[in-house]
Amino acid sequence: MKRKSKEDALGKDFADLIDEKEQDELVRRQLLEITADAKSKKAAPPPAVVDLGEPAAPADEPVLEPAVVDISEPRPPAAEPIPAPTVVAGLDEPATVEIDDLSLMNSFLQEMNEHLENIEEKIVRLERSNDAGLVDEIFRSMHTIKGTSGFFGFQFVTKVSHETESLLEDLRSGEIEMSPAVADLLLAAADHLKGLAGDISKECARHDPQSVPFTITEPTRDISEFMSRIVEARGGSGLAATGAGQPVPSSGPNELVSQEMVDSFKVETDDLLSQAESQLLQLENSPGNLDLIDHTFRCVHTIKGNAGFLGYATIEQVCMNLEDILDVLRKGDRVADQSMVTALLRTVDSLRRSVTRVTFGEQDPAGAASSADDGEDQYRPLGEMLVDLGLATEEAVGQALEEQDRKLGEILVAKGDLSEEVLNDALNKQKQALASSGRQESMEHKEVRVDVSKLDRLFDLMGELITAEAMVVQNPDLQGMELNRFDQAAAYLGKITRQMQEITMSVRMIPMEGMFNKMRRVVRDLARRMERPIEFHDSGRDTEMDRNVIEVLSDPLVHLIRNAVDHGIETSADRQAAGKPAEGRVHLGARYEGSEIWISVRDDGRGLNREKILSRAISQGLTTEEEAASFADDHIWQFLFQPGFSTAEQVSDVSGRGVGMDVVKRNIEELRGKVDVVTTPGEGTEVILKIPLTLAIIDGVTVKVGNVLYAIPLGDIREFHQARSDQLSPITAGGEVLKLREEIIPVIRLRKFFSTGHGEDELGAGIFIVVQSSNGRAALLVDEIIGYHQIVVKSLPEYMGAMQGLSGCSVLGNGEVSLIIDTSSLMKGRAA
Amino acid sequence: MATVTEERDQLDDLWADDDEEVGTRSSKYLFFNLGDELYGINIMNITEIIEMERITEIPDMPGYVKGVINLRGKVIPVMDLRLRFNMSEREYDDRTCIVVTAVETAALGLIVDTVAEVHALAAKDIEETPTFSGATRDHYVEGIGKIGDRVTVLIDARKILQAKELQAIKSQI
Repeated sequence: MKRKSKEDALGKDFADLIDEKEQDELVRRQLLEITADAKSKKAAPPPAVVDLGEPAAPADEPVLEPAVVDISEPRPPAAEPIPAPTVVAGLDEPATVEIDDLSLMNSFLQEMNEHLENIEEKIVRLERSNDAGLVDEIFRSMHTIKGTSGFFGFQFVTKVSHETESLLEDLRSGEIEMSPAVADLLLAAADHLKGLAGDISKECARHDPQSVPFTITEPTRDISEFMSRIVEARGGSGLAATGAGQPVPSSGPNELVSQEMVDSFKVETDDLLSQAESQLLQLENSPGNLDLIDHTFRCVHTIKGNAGFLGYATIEQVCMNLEDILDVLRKGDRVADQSMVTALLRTVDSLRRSVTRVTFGEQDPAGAASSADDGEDQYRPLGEMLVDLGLATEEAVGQALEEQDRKLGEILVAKGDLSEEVLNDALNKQKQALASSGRQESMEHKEVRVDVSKLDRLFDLMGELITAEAMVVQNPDLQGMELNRFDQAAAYLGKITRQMQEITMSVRMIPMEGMFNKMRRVVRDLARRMERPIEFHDSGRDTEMDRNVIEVLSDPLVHLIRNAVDHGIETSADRQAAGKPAEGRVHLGARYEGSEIWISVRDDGRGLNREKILSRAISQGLTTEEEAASFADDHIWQFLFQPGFSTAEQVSDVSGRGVGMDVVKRNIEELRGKVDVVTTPGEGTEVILKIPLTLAIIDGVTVKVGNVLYAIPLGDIREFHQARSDQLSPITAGGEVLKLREEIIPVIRLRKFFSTGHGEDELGAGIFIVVQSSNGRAALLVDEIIGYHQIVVKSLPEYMGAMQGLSGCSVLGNGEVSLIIDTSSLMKGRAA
Repeated sequence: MATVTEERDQLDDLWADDDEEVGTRSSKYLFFNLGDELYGINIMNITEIIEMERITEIPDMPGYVKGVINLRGKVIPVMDLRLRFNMSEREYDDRTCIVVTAVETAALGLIVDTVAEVHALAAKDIEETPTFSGATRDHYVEGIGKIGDRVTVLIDARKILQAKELQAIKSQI
């Protein structure tokens, strides 16, 4: 069906065009017939058999069931999206939902979550600027959720999204005004939906994925309060909660439709059509496979909804017809034989053509599709164009056509029917038209959605590749051999491996934007709850990070932001008294610093109070007054991260239990990062999380203790020191210390600590490695230093659980396994 | 995953003849020796059998967890089944094997004295576990299999992998 037109293929092309037009028409007619077929409930006479170019369907075709919801529904006005098939009723009865395709379910949940995240961010933005475009975008997301949940039969999801749609409808038509209360309500809806999605996925997880199909009970939620709030919010406009019978906004759809929406509609539709196409092709081989039909149905349904929303009535109509047929197939009233699939595919093609012709501002591009060929910019064969322009006669073109082996233009010029100049003009014009239509036809997909587990696998393989490379290049069998060409090849291999490693890493990197949006929401909610006006700023939302890291960062950031709002920023009155603007400011920033990413949460509040923290630290027995006097500020701020440490006089529902900062520290340490605090009394506090760019590959020093290999992260190592027994002194509390240039450093004998490695420590031959961690310094006693390596971090087998003092393991070039030491948890173990 | 199926296919090929004799409702087991006793594990849970190789010791592990090995870049724990079943320790020799079992994503290597054979057992040849004296291995036993007049203990790889007591031991340390 696709036209790959070249300027010299004109004759064929022209025929093709006519053919297409005819086919379009044919397909439309066939569709209508089949639809009528599906709708006719008359039992007695065999329904009018649709001629699809195949032998007529058997006369004893079964009686057709009445058409389903979608078809029987009255067509809504163009501006109002089609209500989802499931009409919500009897909500108190949770439905049971049968799941026969878990991956379908998962993609539904994933999509829903993505939509919800979008929605949330947009609601918050909407609150600040009442932008109709935002309302529409939220509406679209909600509508998709409603549609798909309706398909699965999750009534509660459908109900909540439906009501939210109604609310948005009112917002759009101006029946109600945007206000914080409305935003709250919308956010509450998003929360409900999130909760429901979570419950659904939990329900699913309770079943063995192998045991499909299984049924789950639809999770329920108390949404009565939410419902009454919606009714209340909309009640002011005198509209009942039914959402039906609303006046169509007189503005018409076009004012609501932005170029962006049209573009995303096109891309999305193209994607959906491709999906539908592939499903149909599979259907041909396995007619009667309901999954395939259902999938196609969903694709078409989504297109229908979107087209309806944007006001493309023809596309909508074609989709409806398609749905009708699919429904007939779904019920098994007709078998999807070859001719049927062909007809369906043709329809998909015609839809695709219509969609590529959609341009911004067009009321009904599909409707124009049939007449689009009259348009000036439409691509047409050169010959036809030349005749139209009066530059060549039809006979001349006809003659030229007979000499098809040469380019038409050249022939005409050669024959003197056309001057070269004119021809070039015409050719250029054709090229332009071709370029523009070509652009529309091949909508490029610049992004590919990939399952995370595949990425993780790729990542693992990358690690293995690096190990394998080392195994080959440093192979002991090669020792002492003349290897000039081998070395060259090895260097080349090394270069490619390095590049691949970089790219693989970057694939898992995602911008922090999503998390920033989440934090914006957190700030907003807190500000409203605490009745403290807060301005939220951010910078560096494009900064990319490993997605696994971002997940771990989320909790700490929430805690830091809560602290900033609850403890940092003063009440408006206090602020004004201090000569600051009444609105507090919270800034969230991210930036690259060398091999680290720094994420900072900054407030312009009262700053940390050294005295208060110290006195609390002393009263909690964390330090003594004498000790405290000599502490630098940095040392004091570290008390904040002690579990249970809080200076808040009262425990509020937001913060004060002293858990938050502990979580921050623990999560950041898990990422091998550091936390810095900078504060100026009266001006504010900044907490900076410094996180290494990647967790997967670290620089480390490999050491040997007995027969066990350990790797120590290079960043933790301060110095190496030849062990001498006269530098060691036992201490009363047990254990021993190393005296090094007037400094007393506790000693950890790795052999003893891990009780592995056999043999005895030989102080004369051993080496102390002085390491620095957030828990202080220590000297680790090892037997031997093997060397410096790039270490691909692997987690220890799950079977063994987490291990104190170890963060993972790694495979060396010679295939041996080394254990990676986690210095900070090692030292915690010593303290305990 | 490819290796799993490949190996299994190979095993299938090797023992294809058995299949026809016993019929479809049978499962194949890999049998191995610990001392004089014969044990079996369903081959669906076995990814491969490797020779004894260098084991890296891991701290804080019960004695029967010997450590980890590097299996083509994957680090997996290794358990000495003799020790696990409270049998006396025995020097590893050139017939000592590591039977790599896998359930879902978790893998575990089991050190056994010798690997004997793969044999299909029909459902009727598998009996439920009689209650022994409460020995450790009872927790892992899937059933008792009969091959002719020999009796074998069938071990459930899933149960070994999901053993709770390792966590319990660790929490005591």
